[in-house]
This record gives sequence, C-alpha cells and structure tokens, in this order.
Amino acid sequence: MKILIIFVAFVSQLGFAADTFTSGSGSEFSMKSNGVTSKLNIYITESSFTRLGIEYYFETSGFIQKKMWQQFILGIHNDGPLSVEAAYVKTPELKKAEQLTSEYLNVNKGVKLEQFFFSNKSQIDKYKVGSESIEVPAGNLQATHYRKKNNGQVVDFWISDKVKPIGLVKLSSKNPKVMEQNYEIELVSLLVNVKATIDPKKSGPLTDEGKKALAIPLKK
Amino acid sequence: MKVFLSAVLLLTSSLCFADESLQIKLLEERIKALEAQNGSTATSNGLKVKDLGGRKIQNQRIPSAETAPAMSAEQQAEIMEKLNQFKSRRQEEVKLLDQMDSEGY
Repeated sequence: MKILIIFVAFVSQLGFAADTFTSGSGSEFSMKSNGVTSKLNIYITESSFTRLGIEYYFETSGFIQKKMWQQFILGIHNDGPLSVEAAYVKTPELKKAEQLTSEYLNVNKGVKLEQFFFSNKSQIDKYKVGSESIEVPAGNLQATHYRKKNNGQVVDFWISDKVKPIGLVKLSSKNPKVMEQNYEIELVSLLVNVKATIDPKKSGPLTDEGKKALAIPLKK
Repeated sequence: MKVFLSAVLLLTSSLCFADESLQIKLLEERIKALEAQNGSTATSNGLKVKDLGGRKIQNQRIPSAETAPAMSAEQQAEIMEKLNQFKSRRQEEVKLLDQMDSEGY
C-alpha cells in the first residue's frame, strides 16, 4: 500500500513546548482501507525547541504482508509552518535506512503532507465542526471535530489533547473518485518508551529498492 | 409468613449480588493481568496505554504477521491475480444471472 501518511500537523495545535513531545511517546492506530486493516504507529524520536523527530511504523498482515518505517525530522519556526528538514525510509528488505529525496515528500496518492501543516491555532480553527464525544478502540473521550476538503477528498478528523503528543483520535477520508483516498484511522492505544528503528546517522542515500517502497512522487 | 419469605428473598438476592460482584472483580483482575502481559494498561482518563520498555516496534510480537507463512513477491502476485480473476468471473456470473432474470428464465 503506497500511501505516505503524515499526521505531523495534528501536533501543531497542541503547542510546541519541548516537554509536550516526550521521546518514545506516541500512538498506535488501526487503519482500514479498501477492506484491508493495517497497523500504524506514530511516535516521537527527538524533541527540542527547534527540531522534532517523528517516526511512523506501518504494517499490513494477511496475504500481502508489508512493514515500513518512515522518520521525519521537522524544523519548528516561531513565525511560520513546520518544515521537513529530512526524511528516511526503512523496510525489512533494505539493508539500512535510506534518506528520502525532496520529490518523495510530495506524492500523488493518500494524505498529502502540506494539507495538514497548520502554523497556528487560528489556521486549524477554520476547519472546526464542533466538540463531540467519540468512541475508539483506545476508549471513549471528548474530541474536537474538524473537516477539510481538497480536490474532492473530504477528511474528517478528531483531535484531543488527552492523547498527546500526536493528538489524533480518529480520521476518516473519503473521495469517490480516488480509491486510495478512502480510509479510516482510529486510535488503538497510546504508546510510551518506544525506541526509534531508524538511526539517521546510519542511513544511506535513496536506492531503487527504497523508491519501490514509496508512493510515486508528484511531477512538478 | 410474608415477613419470613421477604427475608429469605432479600438474603438470597444479597448473596446473588455478592456472588456477581465477586465474579466481576475476578474478571476485572483477569483483564488487568492480560493487559499487563500484553504491555497494555489503562491511564487515569481510561485510555489504553502500551509501554514498550525501550524496545523497537519491530520487536513486538504480532501473532498474525509472525505465524503466517512467508510468501515470495511472485507468490503474492500470483494469489492477487487469481483473486482478481475470481472476482471478474463472479461479476460476469452475476451479470449473466441478472440478464437471465430480466429475460424471464
């Protein structure tokens, strides 16, 4: 499943205090897409006033098994949105983690990175639907519902500061024209003390094998 | 007699209630033990939390993925092809049945 999944921006509304983003903390989600259930883990790998490291682990089971880790190093700016400083990918087939080239941050399927980059609270507030009580496998909680539309894709997402640091409780994406943009993500549990799989210092350049694991980049 | 019956009924229902409470408590303890085995606990606000104790995600035991037999990419592609063929044949059959139905067979 070649979908680049980015939720980085959900954390933005929770504030950028370094103590909010404890290394090793995160969330485990279940993702349903076209009848296939996958597992998605997102956790913090490093945190400072200027940098934030987030790692994703994506796994599908059943006939077609796939495991993939992606790590993003984000720059935090006071007067602007988050910026991607570096990104890495690792699969069981790759000998070591590989650094993504810039074109692989813009993909033509799934959730696009820039759609969920909110530089401040007022920017995300315009998508607010209301406060709702929501039930997910992790438990029941009160969350804020947002809805964002882009090129036929309608994304409903629920955020709560009770599920810090990621903040995402549930996400539902629908697009009748693009099959890959129909999926649902729900919080299964919060994570603590997770060790990062990707060590950026030990990574190498992106190879053809690494490119195969990633979604096709957008042509500019 | 009425008083006696009421007293017996009250005693029986109290005993049943105590028994059920005990069972609920035992089940709650069992759930906690199973969650602890799985590295999962509940937070103060009632949400599930998994403590990986400094391990990487890849070290987690995932029964569905770990126990399933490993298949090569070619085998996976072959299975997907067979599934797609089956799906298209099924669609053709349904179409044919609909057509027969509309023609009054």
